[in-house]
Amino acid sequence: MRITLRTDHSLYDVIRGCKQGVPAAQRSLYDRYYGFGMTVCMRYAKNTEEAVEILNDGFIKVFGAISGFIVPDNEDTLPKLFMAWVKKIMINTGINHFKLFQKFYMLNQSTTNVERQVAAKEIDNLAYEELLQLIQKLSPAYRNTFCLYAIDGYKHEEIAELMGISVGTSKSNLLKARKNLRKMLEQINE
Amino acid sequence: MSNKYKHISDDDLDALFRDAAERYIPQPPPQGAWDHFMMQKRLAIIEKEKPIIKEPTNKLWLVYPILRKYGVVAALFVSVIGIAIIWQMHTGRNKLKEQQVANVEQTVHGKEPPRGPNFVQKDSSLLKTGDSLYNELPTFQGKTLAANYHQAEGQKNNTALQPANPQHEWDNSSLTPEAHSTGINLPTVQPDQPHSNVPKDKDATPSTDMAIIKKEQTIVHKELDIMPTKAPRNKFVANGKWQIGILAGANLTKVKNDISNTPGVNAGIIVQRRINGSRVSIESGVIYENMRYAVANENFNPNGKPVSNKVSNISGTCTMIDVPVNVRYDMVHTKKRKAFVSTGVSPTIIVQQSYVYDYTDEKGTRLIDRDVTGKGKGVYPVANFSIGYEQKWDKTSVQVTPYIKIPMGEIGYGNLELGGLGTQITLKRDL
Repeated sequence: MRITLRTDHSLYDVIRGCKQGVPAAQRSLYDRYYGFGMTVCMRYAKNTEEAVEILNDGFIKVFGAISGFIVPDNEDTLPKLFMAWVKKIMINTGINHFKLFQKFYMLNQSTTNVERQVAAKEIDNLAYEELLQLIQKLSPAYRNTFCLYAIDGYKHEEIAELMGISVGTSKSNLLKARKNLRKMLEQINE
Repeated sequence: MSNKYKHISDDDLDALFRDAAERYIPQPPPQGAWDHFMMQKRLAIIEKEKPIIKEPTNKLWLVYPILRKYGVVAALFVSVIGIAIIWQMHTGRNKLKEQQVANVEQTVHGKEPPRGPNFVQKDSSLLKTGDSLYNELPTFQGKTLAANYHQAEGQKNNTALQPANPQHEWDNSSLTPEAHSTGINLPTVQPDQPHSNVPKDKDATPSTDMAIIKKEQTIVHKELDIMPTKAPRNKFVANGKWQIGILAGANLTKVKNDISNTPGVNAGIIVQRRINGSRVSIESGVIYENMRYAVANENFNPNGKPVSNKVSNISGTCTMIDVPVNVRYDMVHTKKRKAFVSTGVSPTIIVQQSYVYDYTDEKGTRLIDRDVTGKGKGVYPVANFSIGYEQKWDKTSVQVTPYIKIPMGEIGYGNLELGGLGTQITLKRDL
């Protein structure tokens, strides 16, 4: 039986609708989690266009796999659980995207123009978007390792498995990412 | 403004980014985001449903990987040919041994031996069986031992050599001085009366004669230190001096004084030859090696020039073919166990090399991946030093060999002093 969505629908109803393939429920979920998804995807992309591409790929996976998402009995925990689930899908999509286009990155990065510069201001007041610009200046391997470890709380073993690298390489990437970020922060602070 | 972020701790740095991400309030989707998503979704579905037709863009698409791996293929080809030759030698030697055994059996039991290409029949009026082995037996007291054997055969089979009237007299006068001293009666052979001097009792049967002759011959051979079954020396006789083996191992690359922490692998075949049964051996082979390493800027000099300071974090991968020629000395040398030291040189050929590095300029830091195969010096000598332990079971042995390779020159695109250390495990078999 198809359900009818109201504008003030609960997440529980939206997920149920998505499980039944209701387009309106899918759109509702998309609108609801677009911002959150972009927050995650921006960390694993070199620019906004790429982040949108990862996000949309991620949502295709979300809608494809949502039938397997087990809704908890306690509805209070649902938003948190579902957010973690979406986040994981977005991160995996971002990493897969990096793997898929790794060669392309290497061939074309010399012509990539990172034009946006972070305005010199007190670092403490830097907003997430501005810090993101610093992260996006890192090479993809360093960026992904740093974001997975420092922001998303992955361990080196998990990063190594996810990215198909050794634990040693993961640690090395993190070290180099931090070193480069420090340099950039120093330049802004001067 | 103080540069307070120069020495910011790792945790604080991580927290700076993490907190900013947590504080961030997500923005609602812009106008048309959903439509864009639906379009991307449709494209993804179409792409998924499209049949995958893989068409070669070039006629060389099949040959190209082989050409690219030419060096490896050539090395494997040489290895296979080498194994085939050694195997052929080994098989030929076994056949010769089988034929020699069959010859002996034929003499003793009257079986016809298989006559291979090496079979040689010597002309003799007495010997009709064509057994070359016994034709080579030495002459004793003017008569060949071979005559005795064939006489015995004739009696056993009661054929043409059997006399019409088998009346044999025991004649002590026919005993030679040696026979008197040793108590052995040496039979004499007359071509017209082949068995007339064979000592026998009057009522002895042919089978008893055969036993007596065999006993006599054994004692005579013992006295003369001649055994009739001893084959003539042949270059194919098994001596256990040759060994062939396959090896595999892991290595850490050493660039000048820096040792990488990413292991590479190696695998190959080796052949070993012991010299005159001594403790010294020569070993050689073909080994495929893969090295992974990080290079400091000061050690990386493409075309002999120092590398730009915009380049950092250089790491390289190198695939090479190593042809070691080593001399080995067994310090401990027992039948089952050996401990050895080994040294030698390896001409080493680079098959493939590539580098990944960070390139930093005003646009930011980029990761560059470059395949530099064919650039720079492609062949260089390396000195090998190793110690090892070998455990043997019958003809098979397992050997563990820690080693160090010291470069005797600079190599490759970056003119690196590329050495290494590692361990190889070798499975060997005697030939």
